[in-house]
Amino acid sequence: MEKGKYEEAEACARDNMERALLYRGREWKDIQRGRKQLADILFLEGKMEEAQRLCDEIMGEIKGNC
Amino acid sequence: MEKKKNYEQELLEWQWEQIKLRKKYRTTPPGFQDKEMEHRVVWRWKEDVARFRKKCRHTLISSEIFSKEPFAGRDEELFLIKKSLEEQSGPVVLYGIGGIGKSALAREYIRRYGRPYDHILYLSFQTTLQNLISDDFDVCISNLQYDKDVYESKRKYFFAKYKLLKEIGEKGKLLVVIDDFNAERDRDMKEIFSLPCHMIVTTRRNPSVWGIHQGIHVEALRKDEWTDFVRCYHREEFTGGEWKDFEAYRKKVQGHTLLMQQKLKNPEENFSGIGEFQRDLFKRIPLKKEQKQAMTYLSIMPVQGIPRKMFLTISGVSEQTLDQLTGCILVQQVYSGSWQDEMLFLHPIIAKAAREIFQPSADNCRQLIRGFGDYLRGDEAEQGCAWDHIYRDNQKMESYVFAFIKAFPKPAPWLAEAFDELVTLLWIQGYYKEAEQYSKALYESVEEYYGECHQITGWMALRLGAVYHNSRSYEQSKEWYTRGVHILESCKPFNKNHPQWLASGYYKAARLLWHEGDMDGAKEAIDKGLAVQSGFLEGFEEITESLVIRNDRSMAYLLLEKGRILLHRGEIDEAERICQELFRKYSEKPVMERFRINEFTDPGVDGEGKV
Repeated sequence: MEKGKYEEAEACARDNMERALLYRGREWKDIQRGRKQLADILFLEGKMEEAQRLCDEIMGEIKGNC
Repeated sequence: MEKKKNYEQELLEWQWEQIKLRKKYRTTPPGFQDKEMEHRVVWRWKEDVARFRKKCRHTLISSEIFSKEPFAGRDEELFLIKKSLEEQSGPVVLYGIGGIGKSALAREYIRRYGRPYDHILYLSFQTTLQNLISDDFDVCISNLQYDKDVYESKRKYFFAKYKLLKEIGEKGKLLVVIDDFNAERDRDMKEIFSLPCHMIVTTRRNPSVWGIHQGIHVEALRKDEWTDFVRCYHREEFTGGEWKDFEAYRKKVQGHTLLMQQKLKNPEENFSGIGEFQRDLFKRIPLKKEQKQAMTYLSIMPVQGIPRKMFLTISGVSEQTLDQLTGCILVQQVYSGSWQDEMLFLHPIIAKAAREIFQPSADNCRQLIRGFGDYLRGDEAEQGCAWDHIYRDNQKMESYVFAFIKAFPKPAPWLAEAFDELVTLLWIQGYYKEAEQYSKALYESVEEYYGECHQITGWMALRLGAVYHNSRSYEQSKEWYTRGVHILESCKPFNKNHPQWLASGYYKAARLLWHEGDMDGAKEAIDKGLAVQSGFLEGFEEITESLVIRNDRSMAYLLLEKGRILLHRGEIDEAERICQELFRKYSEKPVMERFRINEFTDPGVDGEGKV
């Protein structure tokens, strides 16, 4: 992968998320990290709607756990 | 799941509002400029809705229809079950003494009349109805999985699942069999028994204690049914003398099915009743050493049994011994579609008798415990270890892990590594509380046996730290990781694993320091880990392939952590070099496939996104 190729990074981050969900389920600690990483990439790509949705999900779960 | 569904639903609803606005204000810049554009956007939105709906659809995954097993007579009972299910509401309760044939009757009902049902669940009751229904392996509904974040507690999850089962029962034809439900009461009986489905319950209790007065009392076979029964187990026709003996024994034991089965397979043994059978079975039937060992092992397995291949692998028992035991019907065997293998199980009465006589202990089950530990670690299993298995596959192993924990509530210290594998599967699958309890018990037993400053004690401290780390109890994980590293640094090496365990301790320490923002300390710890791990293979005279893989993996994780630390220290070029090299090297290797690949692509994405 080359620097700045956000499409590739996005695909890779989505793959990570899917794999973590498949292997460990939604409760696994790395799921939030994966979400945050994907949200960062989407933000850099300018895909604000989905990035916002992921951030909302993260915030929702953090609030739910507090 | 619901929380996620709501976010996605909200987004779709919001998108629809946007579409409406874009339709209404066509002359504005975001408005639809032409019909084609509008169609395209609406079509894409509909596709998203369809995808969302598909994702939310719940389907019940049925239990497999049982393969043929010896069965004779009971036509009247089978007809009565069918009639009762069609005419009455609530469960049809098959009750009678243990070993009379209630479960076999329920299984035969499924074989004969199971075809018209849309879904069939055959559930072996063990503790509570809540646990029975909440079990995602036995009661598997697509797109539904227990998640503490979503459901908060197993109780809430039980009700969510119950509601879905109710909906599934209302929409289609559902048959639920609850086998061996011997509880006096269960707080969820009322709800479960009123599910809109056909339900068969087998029990040793008279159902009137539950307020059900229409049970079917399963008794001995009728006189005319015994000929078929004998043919199931005896190849040749009985001679007159043999019939006479058989009849006399039948009268003596009042036609008890299990005893009659045993009589046919072990003709020289005569029991006067079920009590004596249970007490004297293993005293009277001469078993060889390996057969006794196999019975001891099988007596601690869950009610539903264990797949034959898995049992052979973990127990070291020979095929021949198993065939002998199934031949004399001490061990039963039924094919399971979900395991794609024969399930070996003991009748509950025989299992109880075996436990009482052979007294399973860590000592006489050590080979089984070690074998199961190796199986979970992947030393024996062809498909690799629990870490590399998907959640659903690991779920299959949960009931066995719980069976071992139930059988050995106080883990033996000299089997610490094997017992630790049980703990690992528990936390991988999200059973953090159970993992913490058993890991603590394991640490205490090891500390008491080996002493405070011992390599095994240090390792178990690190393992307890891992339980806390994965359950996101970071303060406690720090305490135990620190303790583990301290012990491993100061103790005398006990075996050749010492360098690898200490390196693992430094890896954890580096991760802790990194999280606390102490990048210099983290780098120092990781370099110590790399130095110690480099000497690991030197301790062995013969270097096998599995040792090389173990070393490669540990080095890879240490280097990965170093890459992360360097990235956060701003040493980007070096970090990227390490990560790219690791990703290239280990993504090619089969040992790094499956879940592990995630851990190696993560920093790569970091590099792409942030650098």
